[in-house]
Amino acid sequence: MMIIAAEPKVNKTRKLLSQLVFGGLIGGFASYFGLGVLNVETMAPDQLIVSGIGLIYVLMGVIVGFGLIAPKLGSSILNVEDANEINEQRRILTGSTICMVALGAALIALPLAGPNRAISPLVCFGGLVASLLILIVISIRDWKHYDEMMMQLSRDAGNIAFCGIGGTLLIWASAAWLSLAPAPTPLALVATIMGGFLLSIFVASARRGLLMPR
Amino acid sequence: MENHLKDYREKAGWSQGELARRLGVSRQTINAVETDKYDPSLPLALRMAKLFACQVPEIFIDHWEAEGE
Repeated sequence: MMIIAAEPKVNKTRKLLSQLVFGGLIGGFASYFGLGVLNVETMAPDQLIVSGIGLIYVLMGVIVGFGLIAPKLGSSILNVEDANEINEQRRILTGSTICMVALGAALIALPLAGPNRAISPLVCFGGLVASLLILIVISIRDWKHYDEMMMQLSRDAGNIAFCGIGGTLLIWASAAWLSLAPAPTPLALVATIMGGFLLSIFVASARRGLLMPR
Repeated sequence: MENHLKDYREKAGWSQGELARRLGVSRQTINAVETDKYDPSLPLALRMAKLFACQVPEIFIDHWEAEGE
């Protein structure tokens, strides 16, 4: 058997700090400039929430994409052991980056689109459908490259999303019918679904210890 | 499930990445198994045992006992 030296252990506290600082800086800049561009004063709460969720998708995609372009630097901000791990996962991470940025951009554009608005409804709808098609094609392509835990993680996230989003919408719609709560707007439905997916992935990942600093 | 995978891996002088490569899984999977966050499938557990030339119960500890025994 070939014996190799164990990889040097990184300073977890230092890495966690750099992740927090980098994430905070990127999030801060994106919020400041993003919200400025969106002209938030004129937006309804549901429009703002959908844009915010879209911004989170885009930021996650950009951060992972940055890690792919500069693996050595990326290994200090992403939750991986070293740069080699990013290269080992390059195919899946590339797919995730493309899907996150495409979906996020579509979500940011959605509240800005409509008749007599900045983006035409057909262009926006076409972009949203295209981003979903990209997601489906990349998911099918990458599925066979997942190992057994990633497949299980995917199923876990799906189950959590189904129960969480389904339960939330069931209660909300029932309460609205009974005049106990305002009815969900179309954008509130979009926010619940897309925010629910995001939250499910975080919960499923946390349950498998993937959010623990490495 | 409680296991001794980390002990076996370190005894072999392998990193998580090296073990993952030999088993055809990701490092995250090895890390999750070692930290008791993920129980591997039977085929993967058998592959681990074969790799370390031992039996599956020597790596994975199950405290369950049949009633009346």
